[in-house]
Order: sequence, then C-alpha cells, then structure tokens
Amino acid sequence: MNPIFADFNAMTESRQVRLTCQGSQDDLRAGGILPGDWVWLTDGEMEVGARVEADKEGRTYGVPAWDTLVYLDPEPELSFPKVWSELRRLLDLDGRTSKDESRVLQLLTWFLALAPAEAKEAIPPGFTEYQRAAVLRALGHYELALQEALKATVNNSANEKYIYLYLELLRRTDLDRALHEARRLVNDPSTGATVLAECVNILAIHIEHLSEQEFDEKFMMMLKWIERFQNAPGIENIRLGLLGQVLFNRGMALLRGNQIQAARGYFEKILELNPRDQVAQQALSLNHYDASARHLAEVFRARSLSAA
Amino acid sequence: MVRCGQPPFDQPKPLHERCDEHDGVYGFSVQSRENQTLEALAVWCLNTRIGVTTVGVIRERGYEVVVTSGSGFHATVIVPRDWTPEAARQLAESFEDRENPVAKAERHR
Repeated sequence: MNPIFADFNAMTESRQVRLTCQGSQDDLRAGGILPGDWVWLTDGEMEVGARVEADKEGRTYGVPAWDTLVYLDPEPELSFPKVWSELRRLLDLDGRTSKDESRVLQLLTWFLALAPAEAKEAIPPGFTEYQRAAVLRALGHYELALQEALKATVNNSANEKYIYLYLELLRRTDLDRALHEARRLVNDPSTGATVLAECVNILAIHIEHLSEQEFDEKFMMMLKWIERFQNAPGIENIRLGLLGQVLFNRGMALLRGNQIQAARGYFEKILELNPRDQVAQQALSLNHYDASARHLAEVFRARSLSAA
Repeated sequence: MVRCGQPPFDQPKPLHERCDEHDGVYGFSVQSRENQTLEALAVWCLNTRIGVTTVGVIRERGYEVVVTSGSGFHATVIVPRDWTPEAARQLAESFEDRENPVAKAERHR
C-alpha cells in the first residue's frame, strides 16, 4: 500500500491530521482506504503510521501512532557505516525498550537511504520489511506490522520466519483470515514445522469459540495438523517454545474433551522441556475446561514467541 | 509566521492541493500569532525544515491570514477555491527556507 499524503500543518487540537485536502483525498481514493484502515502518512519529509477515522460529518483524519514517526532524509552528519553500526547493535540487543524499537524503525529508513548498492545486494530479500514488522509488532501496531510482514513474505516466500510472523500477526488482527491461510499452508507439503506450530495455534484459538459438536470435529482436524507438524521439515530444529506451544494446545483440547489424564501428560511434557514454566505447572491442577483454563490459555498464548 | 516543511512546499503535492476549509474559510495551514517568537511557533512543527515569513508580506501579496482552530497557533492563509498552481508557487516564494530551531525531542507530537 502506498503512503497517503498528509499536510502535518493541518492538525487538530488533539494532534490528529486532517486528511481533507485534495492531495490527501486523491491518495485515499486511489488506495481504496476507508475509516478503520491503517496507513502510512507522509509529507515527503516524514512518515508516520496512522489509523484513518471519519467524524460525524464524514471528514477524514488520521490518528498517528507517533512512536512510528521517521524522518525520511538522513541527518547530514550520518554516514552508512554509522547507521549500520547502530542498527546492528540495536538488532542484537535483548530486551529493547519502546524507544529502541522506534529508533530501529528510523535507522532502517536511513539504512535504505544511505546503503551503497553492494550493501543492499548483500541483504537477504525481505530483511528490512521483516525487521520493520517485528518493530511494529513490539510497539503493538499489529495492522501496520501485518502490512510489512506481508511485503517480507512477498519478497521471500520461502523464509519460514517471515511466514511465521505474518501468520501470527494475521491471527492477532483477523482470526478468520488466519485460519483460511493456515488451512492452505497445512495442505502444502513444503510447509515447515515452525509455521505449522502457528497453524495449530490458530486452530486451537478458533476451536475455543465452537459448540461441543463443532469442537469434536475440529479436534480431529487439530490432531491431523499436529501429526503434520511432527513430521514436517525442520522439526528436528524446532524451538522449544514453539514445541511447548503445540503441546499446550493439544493438552488444552484434551482437557476440553474431558480427557484429563491425557491432558496432564502433555502439560508434563512441557515441564520436561522447561521445568520453570509456571503456566504449565498451573495447568496440571486443572480438572475441567472452565474459565480458569481459558484464562491460562490466554496467558500462555500472549507470550511473544520468536521463530528465529 | 511559520509553515512546517521545506518551501516551496511542492513535494510530493503542490501547495494548492494542500488547501482545505478551516472554520468556514478556504486556504492552507500555518502557525501564526502576534508577539510570538519563531521558536514558539516552530515548536508545533515536527519537520526539520520550516518556511518563515510575516503576515505583512502575505498581505502585500493580496492574501489574508485568520486565526482558525487547530493545534498550537493554527491560522489559515485564505486563498481562492480555484487557486492556480502558478499563483500557489508565487506565494510559496514568500517563505524563507530555514532549519527548525527547536530540537527534535522538544517539538510537540
């Protein structure tokens, strides 16, 4: 999606950007943008992610996510080695703050502006889009992150990390579409274990909202998907967090089917992988699939798992 | 008077396409108030570059400036609804290109 022109001079008292000038309206129409959509706003000098809204009179404006603001032109004193050095340091940093994430977004923009051709060629396809998506996810802007993750998968459709992130973001923003995509991926024999772990997760979340009758049918589907996961390419190198997630989802589904002992067996397997997993420890004491179980499942799935 | 962004404000869209109706008048947005310093006006601009001029210069060129609702010291330079690209380009020449004197971290978001 192309950025939408915005005149940042035309701001409301609450710092929303009016999108009613001709330049903005032309871009909104061309992009088929409607209220509720997330877009990138730009005046050619800066860019910021924003949600498009409309007031009672139908006038459109953007509500910026200011932590995504970047300056398009590099500062004069910056050079490519300086930008690359700071970017690498931040990308390697564990436990980045929100300020660090915003800085990564800025540095990625300047990296693209300053990098010589040979440096750009050395970067794997989809790398910058994937990093932007990861930053936007960390900042909680899932719709913007999804747009970047999609671009990463388009640029490199074979990279499991990119597909995993795309699926995870799709699940957070549109569960129905995520389920549709998961079905497609499960039917593709080349889909690897990392991506299949997220497919199972999507199905597990979907079946939570089903009636008992529908649940039985989908539970069988889940078992088939788990079997696919267990035999998928890359299963030998799967991250323990993702393996634990599949075990947890299977355990929860068994609990809902009143197979309490079998469910506990899977929670115990998680504890074999990570004896300090408090959610798995609590799950062991569950006797019913009730509100406490659903709450535990939410806590477990809220963990940010990396496919890297 | 300050307008955020680099004069002549024609990339990626020309100035006449940046005009809109504000409180019943049609024109483009600026930061402008009597007895305010350049810094007090520029703090409402996130841009690194700003355009600077005076209300007097704008009036000399046959345009009016009125205070309208918006963030900071928002005002509108009133222009005709059928303002031509050439007239817009000429008025944009009234703005001097300067670096925003306010540090990035201190500009209002």
